[in-house]
Amino acid sequence: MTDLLNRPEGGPNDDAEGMAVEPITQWDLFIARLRRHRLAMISTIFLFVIIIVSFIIGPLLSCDKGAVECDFPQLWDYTDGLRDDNDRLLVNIAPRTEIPFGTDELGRDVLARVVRGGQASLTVGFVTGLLVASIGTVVGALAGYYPGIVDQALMRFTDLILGLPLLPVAIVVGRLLPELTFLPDWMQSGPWGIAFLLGFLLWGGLARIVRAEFLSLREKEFVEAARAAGASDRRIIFRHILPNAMSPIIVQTTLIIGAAIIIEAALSFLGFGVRPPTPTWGGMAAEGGGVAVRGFWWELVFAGSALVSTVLAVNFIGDGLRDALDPTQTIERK
Amino acid sequence: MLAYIIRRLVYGVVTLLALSLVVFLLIQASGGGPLDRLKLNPRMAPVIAQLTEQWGLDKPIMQQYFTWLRNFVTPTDVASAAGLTVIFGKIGIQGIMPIVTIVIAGAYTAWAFLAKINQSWWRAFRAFSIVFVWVIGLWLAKSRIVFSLSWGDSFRGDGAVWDNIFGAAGATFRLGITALLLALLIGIPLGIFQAIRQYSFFDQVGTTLSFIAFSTPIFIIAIGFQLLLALYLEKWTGVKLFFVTGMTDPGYNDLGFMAQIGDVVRHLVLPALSIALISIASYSRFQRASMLEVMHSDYLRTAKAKGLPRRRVILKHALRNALIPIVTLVSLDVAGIIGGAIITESIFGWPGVGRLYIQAINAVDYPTVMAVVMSIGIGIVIMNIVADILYGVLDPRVRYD
Repeated sequence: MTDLLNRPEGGPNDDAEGMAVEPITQWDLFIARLRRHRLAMISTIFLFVIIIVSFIIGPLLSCDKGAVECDFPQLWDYTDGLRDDNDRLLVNIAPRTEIPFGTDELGRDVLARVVRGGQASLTVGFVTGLLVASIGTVVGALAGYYPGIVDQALMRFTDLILGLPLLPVAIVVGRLLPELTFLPDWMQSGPWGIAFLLGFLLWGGLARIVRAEFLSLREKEFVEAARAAGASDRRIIFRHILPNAMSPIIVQTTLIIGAAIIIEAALSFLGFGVRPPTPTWGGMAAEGGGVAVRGFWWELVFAGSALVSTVLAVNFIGDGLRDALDPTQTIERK
Repeated sequence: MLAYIIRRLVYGVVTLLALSLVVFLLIQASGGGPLDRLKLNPRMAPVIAQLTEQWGLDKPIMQQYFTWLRNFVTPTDVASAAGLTVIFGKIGIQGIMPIVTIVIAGAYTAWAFLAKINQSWWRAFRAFSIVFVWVIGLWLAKSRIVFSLSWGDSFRGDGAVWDNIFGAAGATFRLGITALLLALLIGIPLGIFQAIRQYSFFDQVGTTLSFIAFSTPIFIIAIGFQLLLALYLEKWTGVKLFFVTGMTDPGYNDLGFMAQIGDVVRHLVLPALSIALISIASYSRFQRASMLEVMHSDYLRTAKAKGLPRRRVILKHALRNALIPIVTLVSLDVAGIIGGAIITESIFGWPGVGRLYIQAINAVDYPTVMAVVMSIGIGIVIMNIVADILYGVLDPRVRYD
């Protein structure tokens, strides 16, 4: 496993005739190439830790106000300000031992909010990624597999989506989301609405890529063989072509996850993203930017670092996957 | 070619219609109107009735949409629009002209350079057309012929939407063009050097920094610049190098000529650099990849093999071909720069279209919101078409069908 790419011919696993007994699968090669990309490996571990902290430890430690009884120490309440013995709010306290990340302008514990804020930011990223991957793949696959009217109609629609000015549209829709009463509650506020909005705005690029892949793959001999063997269209698309087109889909989806987290942060900065009091890293960084002018740097720095390092990790993973999924690449990378 | 352009224009118009319809319906569906605040006061009832009548808010939604659409494409003053002035608006034409000339001259030069066009008729046309643009522009400015579309009045009561948008457009142009120039002047050489010294320390640092720039929201970059390069720089060293609000100082008009230039630059650098940083990262990555691809090509090996000096190989053989793909990237990046401008303008108090947009959205000022979205949409559609055409001109292998 350790060095599949550089394994010499006639290695220790070969039998008497010099034939390899242990086959190397594509998956083995993929893992071997990925392990070579040290940054991507570190990023994967980092992102895993962030996900655990945001989705498991965060909700465990902090307790929602008005929810069931809270046995946790006040320190971890992210909705309410901290108070001293005289019941005064501890506003804009610099980081110290008991409050390692300090408190914000309303006296809330920044550490608790950073831990809690990852949930919304990551939800937006992953849900958007999932939506983009499914819409983009289906549209691209249908357009690439069925030439003519289907292809034309779907691609014109894709062009339309790609022609929309992303940020202005996201801003105006994000602003109006809470007021659109025909939407279900869970879409009007919170990360899911923003994720759906971004998902519907961002799938165009992936659809084009998938279509291009399908256009070239559907002419290949193995597809011809499958068709001659009587496979149905659905089987050819999902069992024969799609697995071969997976690598650009995976890489593009990873990049979309990073982009969605950033766009959500920008919307939160303008006040049109996930609405308070739900903390998000973007919203916190924006708040922190407001008070940083007065010297209270900690909220901006901690929330900003959480945001940037997470997106950075996602992008490094995307880079690593791009290299690892590319079968033509050999051992050039050092 | 012409058929291709016309087809693309038709698609563009369809996109814009869909965009306007979706935004319009969303605004309608959101319920809350601009008069909500007035409704709190019972004595305002007649005013509300009058404004509802005046703005046509009581009509059916689709009728309101078609009224809006008809107004959006109708000139306010048909007589003046019949002249040659359709393209240039009420904008300070003096302000726009130098930019237009620079852009056109630059595009021509790049085109002629890359497409290796040397015919004398072409050079004559090139030289002439720059003069031509100047003369037309000066004539328009002097004759004060104005043109505007009836985009209605702002719900915030600050005048006609057209006037507001084109009054702010100059500021956004100044910011956007500066950001684009900065991105090109820094990003492309960076990518070239990274490609020439592949896997060197410089290359690794450049790649890492690009990744970080990609992963940082633009508002954090802008706030970071404000804090570090303006606020803390002044606090720690006492040097006031950059300004963080507005385009010029209040006392701008009293300054001397050189001081005025200095003032403009010191206001411009930080917001422009905030927008440019992400573009710098993407241009340098792109340029590096495209340069590496060219440097591994057969014709470059030939050039090296026949003993040409390294400098000539890189500048003449590699660079020319490696620059072609970036033209598309730059044209498509316009959407990103506009998006960056929306956020940066709000942070730096820059009186441009982006800040106008945010103000309008916050004040539920629908005519302005619609008009800004549509203006940006039109700009992006045009830039996409320009990108495709330019790519075909620069790369003879591309065909339009």
